Amino acid sequence: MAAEMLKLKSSQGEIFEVEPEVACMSTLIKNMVDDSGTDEEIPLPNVKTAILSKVIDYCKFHKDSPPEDIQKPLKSTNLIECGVSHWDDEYVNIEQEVLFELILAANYLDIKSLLDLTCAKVASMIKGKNTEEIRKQFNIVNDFTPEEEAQVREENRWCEDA
Amino acid sequence: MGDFCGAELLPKELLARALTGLDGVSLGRCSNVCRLWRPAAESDICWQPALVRLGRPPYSCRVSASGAQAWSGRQLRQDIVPQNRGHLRRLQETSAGLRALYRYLHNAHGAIEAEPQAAKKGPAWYNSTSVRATVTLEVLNFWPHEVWVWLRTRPPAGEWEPPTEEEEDSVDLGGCPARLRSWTKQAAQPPFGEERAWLLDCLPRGVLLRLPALSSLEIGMHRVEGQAGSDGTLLLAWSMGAWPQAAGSKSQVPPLPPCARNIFIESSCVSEEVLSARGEEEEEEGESSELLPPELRAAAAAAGVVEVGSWLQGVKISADASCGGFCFGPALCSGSVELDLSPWL
Repeated sequence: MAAEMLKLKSSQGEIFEVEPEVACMSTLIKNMVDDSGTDEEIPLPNVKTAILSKVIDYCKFHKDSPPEDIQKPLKSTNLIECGVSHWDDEYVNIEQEVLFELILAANYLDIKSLLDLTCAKVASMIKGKNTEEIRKQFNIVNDFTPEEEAQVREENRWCEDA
Repeated sequence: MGDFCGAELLPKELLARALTGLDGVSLGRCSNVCRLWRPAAESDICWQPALVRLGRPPYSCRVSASGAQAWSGRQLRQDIVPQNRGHLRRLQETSAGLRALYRYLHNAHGAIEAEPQAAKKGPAWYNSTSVRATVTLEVLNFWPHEVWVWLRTRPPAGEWEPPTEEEEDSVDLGGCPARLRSWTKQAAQPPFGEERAWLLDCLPRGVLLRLPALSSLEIGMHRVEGQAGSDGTLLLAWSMGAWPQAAGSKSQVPPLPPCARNIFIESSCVSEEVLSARGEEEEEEGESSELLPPELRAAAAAAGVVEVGSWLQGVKISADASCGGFCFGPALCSGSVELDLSPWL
């Protein structure tokens, strides 16, 4: 007989039924279950439906095979060369907006391996780029005043001399 | 992509976490990106993994978490590092934090400062360019782990044959071969309990020091001798590398205790003691007794000062102390200091 399913409720009200082992990869959910049992649905007001579904995919895949630690600092911009599995690499090959929401969700749900993976993805998008390329990559506007920018540049000049 | 700015979604702590997978150079560039990114890219959490593998092939070093924390605590800076020297001033000009440490290591790694105090020419019959000098020496270890430091001067021409790899007692110090046949031991007697420096059989007189993480060693009266250039300069070369970890390494690392302050004076006295015991070559006995108070001289005698070889003096540890063939690994940094001795020559 299958264990009783946990009901996870996204911020948009959608309910996901998940096996307890899967859901408990999230330390947040595990603590909630330990505190108040498995009967009631668990509200996750910070996680949208689309993101929660994505998180559950990750937990299902890694339920029995926890991912290996990612080496830091990253050796390469290719995550596979840094010890990430092909499945994980494909998993984070997503739009930036979704990626950042996943980071927030992984942090909120307290799933360390997912947080590591998504953070490593962000780092891999930065590695090897210069400042202007980083701004472009993340669509960031340079909001330094000219004086501030000159100061920051001066402080970090050493990393351009290498 | 529209005007979506993904990074704005993340609070500073999470952004910092996302940046932790980066090397120092990338982090430096990240802090140039925008106001939101700057504090994230400058936080210690990002810099620790970057420090752990300071990416400068072929050198790499591992920094323990406690070493990095000790640095963050920075009480070390006040307590250990002397306030009034150039290195510290330069370091204090940088802002606090691991980022500053990374930048310092990236640029300078470790450092030696030496200032000559006196010098004189060696005996004319020996070699006309041979000089002996007394210098104030400051050795700084800004690596967050223990290091060996090897100091040596320009070798006398034609007198030195580097040991070959087959020789059992050869050591590799950052690519420079040397022999290490004996070393001082932490003696039981109180005055010598602190004594921890090693005399090497290498170029004129190499000195091997072991410095704890993030510390400095000041030597008030350090003797150097070597071949002065035609303009009266003496080159003091140094290299510095990670002290090998005893566990897990195949080669046996001698159980050398770490250096403490002022000890070098004592050990050079030991070697002077050897010289005076030999009763030849040197006329320095007067100076040596000034450096070494009578109770220390007695302790030196009790510690079993022995003469081992022509270039080699030291305190013998025990008869079976064999220390052949170990490797100290690559130098993390090296450099040289030019001592201008022309005013004395």
